[in-house]
Amino acid sequence: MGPGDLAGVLSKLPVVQNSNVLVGITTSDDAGVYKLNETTALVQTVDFFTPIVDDPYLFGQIAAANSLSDIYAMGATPMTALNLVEFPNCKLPGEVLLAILQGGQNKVAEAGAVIIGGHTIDDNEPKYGLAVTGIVHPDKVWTNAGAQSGDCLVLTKALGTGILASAARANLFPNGVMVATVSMATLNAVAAKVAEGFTVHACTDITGFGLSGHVYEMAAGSKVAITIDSAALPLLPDAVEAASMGLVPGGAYANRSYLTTVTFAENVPEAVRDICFDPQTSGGLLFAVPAREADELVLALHSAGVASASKIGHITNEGSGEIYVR
Amino acid sequence: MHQSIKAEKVLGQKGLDFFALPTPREIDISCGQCLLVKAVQQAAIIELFTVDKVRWSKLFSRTATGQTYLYEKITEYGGLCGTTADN
Amino acid sequence: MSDRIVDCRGMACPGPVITTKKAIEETSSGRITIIVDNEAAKTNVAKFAAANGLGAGVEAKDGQYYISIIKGTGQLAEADDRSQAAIGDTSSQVYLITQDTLGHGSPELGTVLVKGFMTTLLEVKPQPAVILMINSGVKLAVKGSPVLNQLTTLASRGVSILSCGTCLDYYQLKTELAVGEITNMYTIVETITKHKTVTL
Repeated sequence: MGPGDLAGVLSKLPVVQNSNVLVGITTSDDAGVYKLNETTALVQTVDFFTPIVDDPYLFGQIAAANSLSDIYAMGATPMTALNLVEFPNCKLPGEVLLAILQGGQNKVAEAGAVIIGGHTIDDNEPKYGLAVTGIVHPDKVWTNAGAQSGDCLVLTKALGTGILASAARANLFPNGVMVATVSMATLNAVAAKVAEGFTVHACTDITGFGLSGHVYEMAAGSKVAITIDSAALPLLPDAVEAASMGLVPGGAYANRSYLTTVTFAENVPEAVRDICFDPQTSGGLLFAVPAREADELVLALHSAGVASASKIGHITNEGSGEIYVR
Repeated sequence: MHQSIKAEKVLGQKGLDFFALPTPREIDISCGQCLLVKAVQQAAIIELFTVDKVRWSKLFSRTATGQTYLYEKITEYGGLCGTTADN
Repeated sequence: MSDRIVDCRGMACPGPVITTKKAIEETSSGRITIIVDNEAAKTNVAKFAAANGLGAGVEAKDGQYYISIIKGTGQLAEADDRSQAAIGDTSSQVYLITQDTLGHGSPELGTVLVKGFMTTLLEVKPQPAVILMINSGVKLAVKGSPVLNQLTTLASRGVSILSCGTCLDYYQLKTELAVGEITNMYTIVETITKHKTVTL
């Protein structure tokens, strides 16, 4: 669903007040946070979608990694998960479903959490994802609204999964597609763990709204303006070439028309602009940290194996969600 | 064809820049001649044509894309020849 | 020039780009018109054309987009194919006819000369590949032309008879064309650049 349409619908719902809700529907954050007691808050998130790769096992892995990501983006630890499955029983054999679920289960186990139930219904095309519950200390929640002037932005995964998913459907750029698949199936657990040792002012994960969209959410929520250095963006191999060829998903154009506060310097190539709006699946974490900690954070991430981590921009001043990409 | 010659005279009289060239093959119009004009003067030129009764058929924008051009139709009018506005 | 229409309406992305790619690969030369029903697809197909060094013309009509891409040299490539098939022995000689008489001086003599030239051309081996007509030369390809029979015979042997559209327009003779096809300046320049050309 387009971001504009969704916002329109949600705005019609009455807002319910509850003092235990630390992070709720009113802010567009990655997960909901509910305080249980002085030391524990419950974190809940849900996500599912249609296949973006052909292999069912890998699809299960990616969908699970994607769902778990929102927990990490709140600075929380995943505990339990529920399977959400839509499956065309008549059209696809049971082995396909088994492979999807196996992929999901293995990924959840990798995250140190456990699947304790789920729900399956019949549908025209397969969809898979998880509802995930995690826990976090109420004072240590990473929201996407705490970025401050002078902070630097650090992104942990390379961009371009939407474009490469299109390329996969066109049977083009197999190398880029393969690297993208591995990237999407990678948990954000390690990145989150490394960042715990730093002063995280704000954190969000990059998914369907694209880099620009999630940066916008952080900027609007924190009431700041942000500048992105396009040359510093980590890009998946073949992403630029695939975008130049027109393998740009419709979602990228939808994001572009919705995000009116995003402007570009003249020299930023069209393909890079497309990548900035490209809807990501199971993307990386985006941290806003004090400028003096940024380089150290990037180094620490690299040492821990998060090879694509890059410093991609900074918070310039107070504002209301203006994003300038140069 | 004749409209194209008339158009050139009209633009020349008013001192407006233009460049006459064969219609690019990507554009589907019956006339073989078209005029390349500056995008910023587009509105003024259309008005001039209306006043001086120069008949034209289609207005396209032209954007350079690497080695070639992308032509996008902006608007149409009854008449013979096309003009393209350079971006 | 052959025209090919590729209907990509209702296709989910990246269907239009994949289909356009295939159409371009399958067409050796000619105009390919792709129809899409949404702006994202239009932008993607235009990007694809540009990435392949092909220009594109876009027209929006009733919420749909028609994207025209030209591949190859159009008429000349076709002419080559046809002439090879028909005779098997064509040269790549091109004649550029710039007026409806031959030589300078007396127009009366000029008409006599051009009739003689065209008649002799019928005997030449190998036959020319293309005869291009510009300016008053186009008058030779219309109804009532003194050399219509010769040109018609040459055409039946696979020689490409091409008359400049702009010129026919100027003389208001477009509807009177009696032999061959209408061409444009691009094809004319491409043709005389690529082949040995004699200008009359």
